Amino acid sequence: MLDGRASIEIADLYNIEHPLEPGPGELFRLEWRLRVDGVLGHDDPTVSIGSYGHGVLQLGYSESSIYSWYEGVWVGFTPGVFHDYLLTSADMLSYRLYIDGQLARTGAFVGPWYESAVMWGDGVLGASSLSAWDYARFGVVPEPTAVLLVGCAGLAVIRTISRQRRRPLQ
Amino acid sequence: MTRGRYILSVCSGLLLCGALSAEVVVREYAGYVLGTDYEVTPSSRILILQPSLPGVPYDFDCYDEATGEPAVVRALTATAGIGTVEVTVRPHEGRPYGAGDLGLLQIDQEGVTGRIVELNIGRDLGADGPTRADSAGRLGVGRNVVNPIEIAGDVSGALTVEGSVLAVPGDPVIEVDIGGDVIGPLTIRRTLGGDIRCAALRDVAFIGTLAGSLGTTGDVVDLVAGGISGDLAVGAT
Repeated sequence: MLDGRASIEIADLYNIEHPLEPGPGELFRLEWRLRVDGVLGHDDPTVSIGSYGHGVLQLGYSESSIYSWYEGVWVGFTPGVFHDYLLTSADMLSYRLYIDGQLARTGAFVGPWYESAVMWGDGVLGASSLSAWDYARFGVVPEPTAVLLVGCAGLAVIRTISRQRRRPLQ
Repeated sequence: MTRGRYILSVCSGLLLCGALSAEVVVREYAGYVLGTDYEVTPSSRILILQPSLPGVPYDFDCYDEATGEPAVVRALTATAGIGTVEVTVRPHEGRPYGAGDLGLLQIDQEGVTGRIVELNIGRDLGADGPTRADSAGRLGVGRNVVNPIEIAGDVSGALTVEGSVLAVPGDPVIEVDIGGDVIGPLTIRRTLGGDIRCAALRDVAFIGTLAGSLGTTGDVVDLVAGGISGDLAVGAT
């Protein structure tokens, strides 16, 4: 639980500076599970993703929607319950945001940006909130299509080897 | 309204939780209220929540509390749909500049009519993205403009860039190339009513009219303008 309701000047923010940029055939993934129990002010808590030289995205929560600071758009969600959020990007220029497995928004980072970092938590001075976080995790993983291709290629190699081994001696 | 004043922490390193590694103060001097009118993140990103009152622009000053030196404003933006927003970033209390760097200044969101009334920063403008507004007054940049300045309407005051405007690909309506290094686009869709001063000027193209003066200490390689009624002073060539 992050409880910053005592003051709008409380910031309880987690910040990890780390290279985020996916290579060819890779995908950046940020997953978090969150329930927003109360917000006093415009938006808080917040999730921010910055990619050096590419762009930044900052998502601020109200009790029933997310505001993307630099895109100027709102994305709604059902209030008062946990949601599973997934943000993916293949190039750190555009992204897809899924809420409970459903695509909620396709958008764009604004940039370039000065650092690669992920931040989450009570990160707005001027608003306060009570929120429950199950987890926040991120990384760069092979794109599903790449995994599929590698898997298919692997199966083909195994099958070929298997056939060669079963071929009777001449 | 009461003055909003608060201390921001600039987080660095791995998994910092509210830790303070440097004390940066973002102060608003026009009387707008933190939380009601605007909000800030610990890394000096400012979001304006409410329209400005007529003739009372938001008046930000960002500095390091320990040294008094101008500090970085990482981003200054406005909430979509709020109407007219006027902002200044300028120094107070004897400080030389209103901020050191201003990474991202965009007040042209949908439903926002944004005006940069005054900008006076000591170092770079736009390192984290293009500077966008509907109109502007006096713009002063102590070092470089790193990304395009895109002003949809008039720039009614002087635009002073002490360093270079660096190149960014694009298709600007108006292009100003300044300095010895690279060229950068400056978009002004109508009239530039003030002055431009810079170290060197390589290429200028105005769709509208240059009503003020254009002064450089270096070369002007190319100049295309709809009309020039002011002075043109070129330092070198």
